[in-house]
Amino acid sequence: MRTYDIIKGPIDTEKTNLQKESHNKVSFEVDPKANRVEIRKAIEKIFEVKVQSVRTMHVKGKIKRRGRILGRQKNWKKAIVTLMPGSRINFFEGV
Amino acid sequence: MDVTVEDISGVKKKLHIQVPHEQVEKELDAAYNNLKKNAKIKGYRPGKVPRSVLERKFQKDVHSDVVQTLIQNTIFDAIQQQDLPIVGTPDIDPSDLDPEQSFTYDATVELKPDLPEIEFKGLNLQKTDYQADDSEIDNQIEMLKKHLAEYHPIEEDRAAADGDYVVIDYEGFKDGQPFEETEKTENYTLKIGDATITEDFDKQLIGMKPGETKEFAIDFPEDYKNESLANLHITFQVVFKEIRKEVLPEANDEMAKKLGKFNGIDELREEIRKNLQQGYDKRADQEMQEQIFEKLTPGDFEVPETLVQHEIDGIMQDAEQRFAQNSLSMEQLGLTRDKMAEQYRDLAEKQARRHLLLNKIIEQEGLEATTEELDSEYSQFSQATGQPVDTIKAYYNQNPDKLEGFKHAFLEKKAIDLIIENANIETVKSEPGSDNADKNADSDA
Repeated sequence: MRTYDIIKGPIDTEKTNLQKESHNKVSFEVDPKANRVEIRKAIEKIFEVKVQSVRTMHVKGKIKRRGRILGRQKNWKKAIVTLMPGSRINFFEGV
Repeated sequence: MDVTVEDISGVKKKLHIQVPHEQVEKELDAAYNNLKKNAKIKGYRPGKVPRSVLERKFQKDVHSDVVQTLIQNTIFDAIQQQDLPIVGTPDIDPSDLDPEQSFTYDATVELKPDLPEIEFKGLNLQKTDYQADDSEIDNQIEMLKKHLAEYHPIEEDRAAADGDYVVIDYEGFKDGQPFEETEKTENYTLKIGDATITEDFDKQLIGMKPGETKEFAIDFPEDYKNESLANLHITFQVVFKEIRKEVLPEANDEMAKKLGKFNGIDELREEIRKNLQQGYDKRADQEMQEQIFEKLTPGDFEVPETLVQHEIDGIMQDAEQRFAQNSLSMEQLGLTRDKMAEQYRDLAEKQARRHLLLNKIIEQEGLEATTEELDSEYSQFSQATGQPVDTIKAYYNQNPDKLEGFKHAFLEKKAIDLIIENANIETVKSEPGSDNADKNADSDA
């Protein structure tokens, strides 16, 4: 499917930054319907890097309350992509 | 820190300054550490943002900040290290900062010219001794008479002629309608031949007798002084009232009293003489100063552009103030700043040169302003401006910058006095006749 629709965006937090620096792992928010193989292909194509492995997880949206009203953030899928040693994604290294 | 100096001209140098890598690194670290404490980036707790992320996001800002601090920290050391007497602010041309390298930048500075000792003693100067003579005083009195002139109706019955003062009522019509700019005016006095309205208007009045009325049309020329009338065809209705003649007062005690504070004509003459003499004395002093600067050596040396610009700014400010007082703007006179700057450049350069020379003399002779001397300056100033001495004193004490300027102006005066004291002065009588020509030349300059 739609290579560019699979990857929704990078996740840049303290945690992902640590993973990147110690294990060369980068994290993305991805389409919940995409599987690991599709994600790997998409990443390799978009960023022109070699991917060693992809781990995915569903993240449950948090329940948010505003006054009496309960609301729910969307569920989404996170992919932690381990890059081959030597591969880097420029986006995370700064433009 | 490495500094190399490149000569551009005698008073202009270019400094190449190299800041060592360690110092660059130190400043960068400091800047990032400082930023880290306060930066708020989504996904990171405040104060926990890794340097790599900061570098990614803020590199540009941090670098330009660091470049500035580096320049600020080093430029004055560099100038001191080279022992350069700079004037104005250095013109700095920074290069890009590379965190892995030492940082280099260029600064262009202008220097005070290095003047040799000035030999100002024993200059040969000519002092022209101008005296106000009686004919000039008479002239002035004639002018005053004109101001006090009265206009009396003439007794004989005759028609108006060229040169008469006449009193008329008039009203102007444009296309048969009353016109705002030429509305009905009664008892208007004008002198035929002065073209107060237009020459044609005056011509129409010639030959009219008191009591007559006349209607005539005037075509205003294209370049008429009142723009709202230019190019218009206006019909005037004029009621001719009377012819008057100008009666000048006698130059006697009575006239003097009319002018106010004088008790008699002699006192008036004395006052006029005093005023004229003051003007002449001032002129003689100025001429002396001109001579001084012509004869002072070294007269010709390079003047830093900054100082010239500074003088030009001063001249322009003066000019603008004068224009503003006459509620004119420079645009109205077709002047632009650039044009004026060009026009006054030579003058500014001359002035800058003079200030430098006087400075050197002040320095050379170790001139100082004592408190008493300043006090007497204050009181002179207060007489000139009409403000109480205490106000002036308080003002200068509150503005140390201005006080410095004031002191400096005084010291320059003192330096000139010193030169005059030590000069051989030859007093020359002013030649009658050449006087007026001189005056015209002065007012042109």
